[in-house]
Amino acid sequence: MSTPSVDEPTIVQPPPPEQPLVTAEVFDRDGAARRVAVLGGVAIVIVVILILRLWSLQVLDVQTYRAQANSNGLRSIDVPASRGQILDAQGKLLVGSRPSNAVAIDPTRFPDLLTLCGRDVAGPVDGRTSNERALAISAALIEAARFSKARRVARIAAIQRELDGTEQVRAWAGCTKQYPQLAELAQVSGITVVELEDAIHTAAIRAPFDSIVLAKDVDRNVLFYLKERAAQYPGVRIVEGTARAYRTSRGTQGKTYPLAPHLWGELAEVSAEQIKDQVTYRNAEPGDLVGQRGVERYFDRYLRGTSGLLQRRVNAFGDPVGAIVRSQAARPGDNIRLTIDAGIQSAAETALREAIAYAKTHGHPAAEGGAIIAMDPRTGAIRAMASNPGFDPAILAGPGGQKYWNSLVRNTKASPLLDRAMTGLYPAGSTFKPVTAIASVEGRVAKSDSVIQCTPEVTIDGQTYRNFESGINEPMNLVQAMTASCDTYFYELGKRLYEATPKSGQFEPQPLWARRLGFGASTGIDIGGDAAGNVPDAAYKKRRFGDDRVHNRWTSGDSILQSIGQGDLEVTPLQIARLYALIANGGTLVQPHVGASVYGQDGTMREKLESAPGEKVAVDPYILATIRKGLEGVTQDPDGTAYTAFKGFPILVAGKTGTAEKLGKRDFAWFAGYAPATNPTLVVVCVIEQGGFGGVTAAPAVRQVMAQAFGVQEATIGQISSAEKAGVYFGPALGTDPAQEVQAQDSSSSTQPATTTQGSTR
Amino acid sequence: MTLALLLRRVDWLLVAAVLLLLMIGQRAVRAATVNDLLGDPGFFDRRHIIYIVAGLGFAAVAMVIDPRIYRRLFWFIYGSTIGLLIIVLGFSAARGSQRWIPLPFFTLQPSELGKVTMIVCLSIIIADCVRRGIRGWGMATRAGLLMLPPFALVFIQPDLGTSIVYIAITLTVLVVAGLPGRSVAVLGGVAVALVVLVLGILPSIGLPLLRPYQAERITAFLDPQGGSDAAYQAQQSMIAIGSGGLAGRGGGVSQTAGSFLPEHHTDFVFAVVGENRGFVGSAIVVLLYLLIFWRVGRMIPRARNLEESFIAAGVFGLLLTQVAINIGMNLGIAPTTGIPLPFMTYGGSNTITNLTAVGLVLAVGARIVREQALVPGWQERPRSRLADPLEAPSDAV
Repeated sequence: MSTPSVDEPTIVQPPPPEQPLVTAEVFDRDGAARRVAVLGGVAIVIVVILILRLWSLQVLDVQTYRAQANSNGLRSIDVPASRGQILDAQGKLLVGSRPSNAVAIDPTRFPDLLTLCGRDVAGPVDGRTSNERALAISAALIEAARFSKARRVARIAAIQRELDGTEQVRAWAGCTKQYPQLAELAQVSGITVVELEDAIHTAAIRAPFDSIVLAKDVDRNVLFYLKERAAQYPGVRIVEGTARAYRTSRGTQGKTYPLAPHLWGELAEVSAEQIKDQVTYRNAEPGDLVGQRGVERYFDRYLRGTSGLLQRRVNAFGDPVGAIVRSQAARPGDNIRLTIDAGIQSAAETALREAIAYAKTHGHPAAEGGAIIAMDPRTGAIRAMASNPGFDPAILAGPGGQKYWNSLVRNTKASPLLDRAMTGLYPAGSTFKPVTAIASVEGRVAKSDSVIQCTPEVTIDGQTYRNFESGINEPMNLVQAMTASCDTYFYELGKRLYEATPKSGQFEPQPLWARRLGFGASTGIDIGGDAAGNVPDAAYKKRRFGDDRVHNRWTSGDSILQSIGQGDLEVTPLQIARLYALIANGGTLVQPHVGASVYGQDGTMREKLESAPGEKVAVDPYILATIRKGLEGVTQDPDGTAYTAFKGFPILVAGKTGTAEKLGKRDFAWFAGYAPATNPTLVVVCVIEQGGFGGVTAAPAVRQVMAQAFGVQEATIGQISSAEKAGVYFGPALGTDPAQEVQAQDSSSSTQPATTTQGSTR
Repeated sequence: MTLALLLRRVDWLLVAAVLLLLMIGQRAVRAATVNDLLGDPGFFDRRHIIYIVAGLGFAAVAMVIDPRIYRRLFWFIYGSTIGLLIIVLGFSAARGSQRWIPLPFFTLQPSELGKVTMIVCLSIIIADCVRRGIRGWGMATRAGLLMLPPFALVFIQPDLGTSIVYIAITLTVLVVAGLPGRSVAVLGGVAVALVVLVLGILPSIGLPLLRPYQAERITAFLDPQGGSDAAYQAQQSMIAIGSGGLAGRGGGVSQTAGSFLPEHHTDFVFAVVGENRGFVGSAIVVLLYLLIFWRVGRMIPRARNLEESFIAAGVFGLLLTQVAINIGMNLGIAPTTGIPLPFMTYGGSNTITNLTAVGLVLAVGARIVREQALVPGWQERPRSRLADPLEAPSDAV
């Protein structure tokens, strides 16, 4: 610092204009740089602390941390919720869950595996990738079940061609080659390398969240083997899960059969499309198993619980060590109680099986499939729904499921996946006669006591129609005509109904009443999927025959054929059951349903599922009473077509037989009955494809089901059949009247297409 | 000044250190996120590079702009920051806890941008205070009033970590501006008392201000063996770093790339360096930060005006706090908060923020006019003789 001279003024440089002068007394100048130095000191201290800490961790304690790193790890595991059980009306277990262990791999341990195995190539034929085709095929298969048999066969053949096509475009083949331990793993788990690659491919497309399951329901020895050699198979996990287990029933000769396989439906991972359906699949998340059809699907939102989460410490090999870090309990699904009664269901399936077997050995070798439905006519609650042939859902849920599914689909001859009770389409035959009676009386073309001559044949509009019983020629009223199932009585009614058709073409009386009584449309059953059937009318004929002037009108022939349940009429056994329930309960069209209530795991009822009350149809109760009398006669009157079949049965059963014709096939056997006739609590309908006479083949099956339902102890069809074979039973064949059988054989040969009339149903 | 002049004056040492850290960070993020998205190993890497490029762009712009302009834009800057913070709260109310505004390409985190904008605003206010002779509690109060709205808006989000950074910035600028040491100590004591209040006393009388997970993070730091999420992350980080040893385990990471350390590309990116490059690599990173602190700190007393000096101070506080807390958290000696590690953490908003801050500081540093008479009273030759050989001898007394 230079001292200023006394006489020279000090020249202070003016500050640059933008910066105001900062006077010393206001501002602490010394501290400025000192303060910065302090800050600098703080920074240095912090850095020193950090470096010392680094030294401590990385040099002094490195061994400890290295050891911890090796035994370190955290895995998040989805804890799947246990799926609710399906119980019968009494609470008996029908479908439950069983433990199922699977071998899986952790995809993050195999870099590039998903990219390689996820490769998919658009198919040469239609530009869709193989996965898209597989999904389209599954959807198409479910659809195909609804069609009538002919269309179904064609559809499944087309699907089969596609199925064969997809297997050729395996763009991901060989994707596991770079990991030879995977091939070893496949061998140990008992699957082929092709199956391994397919499993990884399917998973890769779905963008797996967790492990990829390679093989399900693996043998315990395999599990132990893999666990012991965890070091050899890094990235391999044993996944403990569950699979469905199904109740079985004991049949004849002690064999076990699956119970009601068509009701349940399979479980599969929810697809992207299905997640969007928030009504059926409420709150479903990717990776959840959901029901695809039937009960499992329509009650999925109750049955499927909510997954929980488990975070565990695992070591480098993936084995759990130490504590659970975080866990969130899974919420188990609720149980569903059905209206189905396991005892009646079992009896129905046994009766169906035995009746078909018996028919095969007693003159009807073509008897194959069939269905039985048992329903409560007061509420529409379904007590049993059996369809034959069936399949084993336990195999579908197990390891060989995919192959088994393919074989079931390819079996177009038997169509085992088809639920014939709900979606089987059949000609109704004589079981349809009550509809004609109701239409006639309500349409004022006849009265409940109208008497008409029952002749062996009748000619109307140049067409000759025959009665099944060629030997009868006497006047009958409705009750008698119903009991003896006189076809000409109903031809006359059909003719009158045709003449009563308004010229304006607004409606045709027969189809109108058929629709009012529930035919031609789905019944709205809660598990869905039932067929609508077909009720021909003038519009139908126009649609079907187009410009063909000969055939595209509603003729007397159409009305007459429909009056005995033939023609192009197609009904399902479920619809027939509903009709007879209406007759039994005095005029209410009940809503068939299978679901009864939802129960929590703690046993408390959460929700009642029983659906709306039925719809009252405006039918004169007197006509229904008359019909009921006629139906009682069927089993009580010696002229009744099911007299022999129900002889000696302690409970009064009323019903109707049917022997429906179908072009190119043998007659379809029907019986629809209810009991006790005075105050009906059960309707049972049975149809047996190509089984011959309803009173002979189907009626004994219905009797057997009713015996179980009402606690009547008597011999089953199977027992009688075995007794016959053993030579200890020489009585009449079930339900047969030998005289009638001979006559029927005569008349069945005379109703061949030569006369182009489809007549004579009984 | 012309661009050429600017470029000659820029502190290239600082630039080099920042670029080096950016590079190290990029490699760490890439190594860590390789398995995060199955089928796309470069997903995070690509985005990180884009963020870096964007941040460098912002830094270049901030460097070129003359900082004196900000005074004229004070209300615009302050207002838009507050506005964005309020908008974020609106989003948060709609969708639950959320700190960002979703934009077409990336998500904007206003609390991050606020760090830089508040430095600018604070510097202007405090410079005014100093010039008008307001000091001590007057200055502190003004600073508090300015910072209270953004601090509160950030705290409510809730974003505890960022609000701590705001406090640190404020304190640094106040210290540099001359707040007496005693006041600083008092403020510090108040802060500690607040922490105890918020963590301990209020919850026990039923008024928890912090969300449970926030409180848990802080207490987990005190009890690292606990089973909570935050404690787990801290443990995992230490294991990863510790297992790095002297020279690291090489590029094929196992701990940090696996699902062991979930925040390996954000909060815990330092652990990736620790595991891969060991003590040597980690120490180099820490020393690079020290270099940056030094270069920024050098500018504080040499800035050509008070505003720019305080800007440099604010940036100093910003960087020091983030580095100290983030690395401390990785090493288990600081509680877990969502504070990013400057230039290394993955994330658009924080990368842009920190690089913009660097740009500001470079702007300040490039405009230090060495031949000009140093501002009287401010650029005194200090008695402690921290002599800068480039400093012109001062004739003014």
